[in-house]
Amino acid sequence: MDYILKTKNLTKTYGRMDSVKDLDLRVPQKSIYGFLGPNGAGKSTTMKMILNLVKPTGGAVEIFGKTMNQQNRLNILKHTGSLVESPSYYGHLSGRENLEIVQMLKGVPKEQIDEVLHIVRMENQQNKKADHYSLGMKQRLGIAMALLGRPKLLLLDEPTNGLDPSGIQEIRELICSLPERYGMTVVISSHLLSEIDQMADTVGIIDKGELVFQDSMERLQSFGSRSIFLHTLDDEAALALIRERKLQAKRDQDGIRLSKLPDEKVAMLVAQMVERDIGILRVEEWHKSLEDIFLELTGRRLSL
Amino acid sequence: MTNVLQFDRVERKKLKYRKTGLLIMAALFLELIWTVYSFSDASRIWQGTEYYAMIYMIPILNVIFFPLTLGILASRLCDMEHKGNNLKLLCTLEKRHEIYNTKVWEGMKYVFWMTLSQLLIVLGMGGVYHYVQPIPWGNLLFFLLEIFVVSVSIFLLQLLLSLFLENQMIPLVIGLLGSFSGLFTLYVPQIRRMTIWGYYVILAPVEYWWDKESGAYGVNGGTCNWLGILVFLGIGATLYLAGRILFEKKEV
Repeated sequence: MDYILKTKNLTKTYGRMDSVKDLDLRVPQKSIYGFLGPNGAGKSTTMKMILNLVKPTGGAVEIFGKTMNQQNRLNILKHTGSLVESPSYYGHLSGRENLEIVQMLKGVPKEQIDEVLHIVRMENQQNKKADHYSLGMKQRLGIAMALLGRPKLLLLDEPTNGLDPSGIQEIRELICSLPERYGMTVVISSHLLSEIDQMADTVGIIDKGELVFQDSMERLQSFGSRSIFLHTLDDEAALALIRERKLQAKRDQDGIRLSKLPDEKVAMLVAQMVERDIGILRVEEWHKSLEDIFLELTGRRLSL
Repeated sequence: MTNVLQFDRVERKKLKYRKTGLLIMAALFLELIWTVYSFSDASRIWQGTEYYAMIYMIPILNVIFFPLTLGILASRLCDMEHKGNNLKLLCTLEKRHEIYNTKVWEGMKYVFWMTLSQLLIVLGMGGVYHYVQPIPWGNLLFFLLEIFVVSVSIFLLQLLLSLFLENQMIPLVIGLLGSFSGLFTLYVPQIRRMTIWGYYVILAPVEYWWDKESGAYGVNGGTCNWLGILVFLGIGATLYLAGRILFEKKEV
């Protein structure tokens, strides 16, 4: 597989504390890579190290197949766009003037300003002072700045922070459209599992500075094993019956949990319980959520 | 050179609506009013040494007005970057030393215009009030040179503070304290050379004299302290390098 971004043993230490430790990210080309982790896990530090805003204590960053160093960093970063932590803007200037500054620094044609304004749907607000923008507008302006120069790689750190639901939806749709419409690869960090779940096709999970999972979203979801949950009026008798049938089950506070069975077997088991006068209250198929998978991987609960 | 011009264009665009030039002009206007008030009858008081008297008095006004003005200038250049989290963006688009150099360049341009305004004030006053003394070009040019090098050093110090401290009140208060300390030390000969703010007066190429017995006083042309200029060039270079190295290492 072709990776547009790779890190090798990327480490950042502050004092004695490892903020990021031996991180090996692999971001496939034209993917949306979800970089997931709780607050303080090291996501922003990693993003900043990739952009060379923070000097790594150890390890290396490879973008477009080139290991980044002080000499080539600007040439490499010229083909990237970024929005780290909060959008950058000059509040006393209009949205368009802000974009003109970035356009001049990136050395791209002026026409691209109209193009990115159209992409983020900001044509009507382009002449308003950035200080008067809502947070959502500022985020969109930040994304528009990142999109100038049609970068091959876009790094967005928590781009939906502070947005209302409709703003989140809008930004999400925009991000999802980028790989297909413009051939971009997007790395998006978030502490919101649901957000990554809806956007990313590849996911990396970081916790306490260490990568605990990295693979496709499908693979992450496949960890979500299915089971059958039974709640009866006499769980003890029901459990005895299940064990007679040599099936694996576990009783917990809420009822009995069986490993996944074919539907016919479940139907037969229910019929036998009815024959023995065991009152059945509920039979449910239980699917482990991403939240539970994350909890298993990190031992920590994450925002939904 | 293309890069310098391009970054200068970008910096000027960033400074649009910031009224930086207007703020500096306001400070210079105050200085002009003070000068007109003090020197409108200079020919009668200073009798043939009017220009020397101006070269002596204007640096005292500079000690009062310039440190805070330079503090405001550095703050205007830097607080727009802090307020909008712009260093994170700029550092991905420009080399760090280019960002720093652009700020230095922009500030030095304002310092140049501030220095030139001093020349215009001196020549303008001489023309309007018909000073008797011929223009002492040697002293006048050295006077401009010392204003420029001292101002650049003070600006670089303020830039260092404004670039590294997000709260711009601290550099501004330091600028204000600089004015006070510079003025205060002028009256205490033992410590007058200890702060950089008082050097506008110390390096002025004129000598004030006062005869205790007769009570007579006046200002004569003095020697040009080239060593002082060299020392200030050294201070300026050190402050520039310190700012540049620290900015290269700064995590944003």
